[in-house]
Amino acid sequence: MSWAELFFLIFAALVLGGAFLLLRANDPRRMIGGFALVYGALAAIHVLLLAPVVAVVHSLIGGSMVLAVAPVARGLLGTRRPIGRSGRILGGLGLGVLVFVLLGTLARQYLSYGADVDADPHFGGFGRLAADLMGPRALALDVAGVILLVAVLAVVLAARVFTAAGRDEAAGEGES
Amino acid sequence: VIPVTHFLYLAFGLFVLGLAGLLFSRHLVRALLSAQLMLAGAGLTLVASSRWWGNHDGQVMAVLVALVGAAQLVMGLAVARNVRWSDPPPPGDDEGGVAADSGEPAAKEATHGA
Repeated sequence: MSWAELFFLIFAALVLGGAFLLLRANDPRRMIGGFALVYGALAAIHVLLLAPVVAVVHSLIGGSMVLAVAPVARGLLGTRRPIGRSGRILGGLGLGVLVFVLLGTLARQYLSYGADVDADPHFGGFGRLAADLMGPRALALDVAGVILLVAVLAVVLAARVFTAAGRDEAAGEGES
Repeated sequence: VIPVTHFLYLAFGLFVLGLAGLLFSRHLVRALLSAQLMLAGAGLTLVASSRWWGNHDGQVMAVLVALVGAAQLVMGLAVARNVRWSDPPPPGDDEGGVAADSGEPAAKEATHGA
């Protein structure tokens, strides 16, 4: 087993462990810790794939997500969303099919490994990716950036509207 | 040298775990973060495929997917922060539901909302 494969296995275990922690924890701090662990280990795996720019972007976005979720997680943790019986049955069936595919393809891995990834050391550099993003993919990057900007502005607007509505409601209850 | 299938299996496992969390968790924060796990799995697939074919397009797509995922999480949190689900907790559910804004027990909140 090569060093790269060993590192991959370690970080893959961290990714899956963090995901399990996220799914099983009841304490919001542990839940967010599991999420941060997933994103941190995923950044390392992206580096193994010679995608340092993606790793940096993932780390920044993951950190922002943790900062965004942490202040409201405790208040929202017990908020329940309705899940009907049919949704559970359909979800269970879909998940069962996915697990079946995963187990089947993993069993095939014993017969034949997948192709090795290319070992080109010049792949994934910041300059080449930036040239791609700013050149032929500039429109897609702009659209994604505008979507993110609109989302952030909408959140700020919604926070102002709902805060004002809540203040009015509280004032009305105080008067009555 | 690592076979590309290792990365694909990891991405698939991450996707399945995220899907399970999204489908079967009734906690909003966990559901939102599970959706992010699914997007992270999709992004890892793109990056691994990009590495395999020696083409940067997958990395570009992974960056865009991450950006859209961030937007989705932000909007989801904003909506969730201001939505009170009105269904009462099922009998025997011991997960200790607390209403979003008030900190009151979920059953009391549901009765109040009805």
